[in-house]
Amino acid sequence: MLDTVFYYIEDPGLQIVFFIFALGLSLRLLFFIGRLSYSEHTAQEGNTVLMVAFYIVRSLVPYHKKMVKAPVYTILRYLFHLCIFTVPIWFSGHVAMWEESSLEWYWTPISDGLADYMTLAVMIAGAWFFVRRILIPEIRRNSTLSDFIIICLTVLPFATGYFYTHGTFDHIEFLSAYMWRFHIISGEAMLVMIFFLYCVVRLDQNRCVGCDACTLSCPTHTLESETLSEFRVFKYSHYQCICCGSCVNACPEQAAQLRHEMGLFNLFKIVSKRKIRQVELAACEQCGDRFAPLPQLGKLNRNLHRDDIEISTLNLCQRCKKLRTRKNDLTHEVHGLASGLR
Amino acid sequence: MANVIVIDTEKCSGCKMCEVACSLINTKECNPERSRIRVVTSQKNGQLQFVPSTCMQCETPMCELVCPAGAIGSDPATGAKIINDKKCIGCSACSYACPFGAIYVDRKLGRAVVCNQCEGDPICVKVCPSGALQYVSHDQVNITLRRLGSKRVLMARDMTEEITEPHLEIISENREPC
Repeated sequence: MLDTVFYYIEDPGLQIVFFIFALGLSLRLLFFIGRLSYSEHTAQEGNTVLMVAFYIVRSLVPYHKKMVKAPVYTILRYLFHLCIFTVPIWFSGHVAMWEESSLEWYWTPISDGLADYMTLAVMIAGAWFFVRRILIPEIRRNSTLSDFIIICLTVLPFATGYFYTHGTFDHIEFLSAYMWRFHIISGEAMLVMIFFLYCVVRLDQNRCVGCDACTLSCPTHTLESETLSEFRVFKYSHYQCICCGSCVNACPEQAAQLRHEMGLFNLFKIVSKRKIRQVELAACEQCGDRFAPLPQLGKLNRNLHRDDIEISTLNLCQRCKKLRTRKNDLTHEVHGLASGLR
Repeated sequence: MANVIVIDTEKCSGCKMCEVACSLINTKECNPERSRIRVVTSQKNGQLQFVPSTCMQCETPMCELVCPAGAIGSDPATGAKIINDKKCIGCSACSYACPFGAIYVDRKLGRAVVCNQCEGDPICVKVCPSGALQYVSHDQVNITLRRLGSKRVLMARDMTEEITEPHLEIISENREPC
């Protein structure tokens, strides 16, 4: 019974999964290109293709803020992603299977020893990412179940493949007989997962102060902010995003993050932008204009207070502050609003 | 030593030539909204009053203090504040901290801009028809102006100025309107 199920998973299953994978990726590429050319902002600013290519290449080079702050983690992350792409495509066993198939494709495989080391690297790095998510409270707070599932589903095909080729669990009869099947099933699961996997920008609700640095740095105007009466609303569209990491580099609070996200219905959300953050704007004490995000003013106030400085003009808008500089106002209101620093 | 733009609010006629010239020179477009010197208009007792306002070149600058990227510094030659384009991220922290509202984030450039005295040759002073703006060395500011300034400071003893020590001085007397 179990064998028949496994048989169907292997024979038509693999083909179906590969078909879904190719179809999904090409659909997403189509939507991505369509969304980028649809956006009216990028059209104004010179050559979009060149700009997108530049940012994609730049994001592939491990030279950014995170590299300086957490070098070990960043190196591990780049290594992990490099191995994830290299091993399944250039592993000699996989290449042989493509050659034997009706397509008869062939490309030069990497040596088995290198593939072994890369698989081990994936397993170790994956385990570290998993443990790190549990151990560090800051990251644990921001993690959801899907983050753990993504790590597991990614590492599992590599682990089963390694166990199968090396016969690690051959002394257990059940595992030795079915490891091959586990490898195929987990590989299929990973391919299906990639179809639903998106790299999205997230603003950490606890850290983000709503300062707009990310939206100003965004080269494709994907991340946008809008002022709606008393709120500043940040909007984001995953098809327009080229995942360049400009917002992550710009964020002064380390609140902007590029994260993997599983979205079952993200595929067809092409044009609409979703609201990812909303901050309240503070009102000017004199004229009542909404001019600055409340969390940022609070943060500024706290930082200055720590240095024993207090600016009473913090709650005034630009215009009211300028009016303050006139002499008459200063003399009249010296004990009042315009008392400046205390 | 530092040079300063001295503003006489009583002489200002509110023509806003300085705004136009500043935006033309610094942003290559005629848009007073993006000028680094702004003339604020207010009405007091039925009479319009104009206050040109620009960077005060504080000795202890709040903008420099709060900048999370460390992008703000001052020009050793003129004493004007300069913003490092590459470091500035456009978070507006400086504009909220500035007690005079002189620095702001240009949404088009995506970074903060502030009066840089046009690298030692301010266009606003050149175009000012009423002589409300003067560009003088900080050492050679007329002693009477200084006296007036200090009198004003004494009158409006303001801790803002005590701590930040603005170099720029706004001079004005209580003149009767003609």
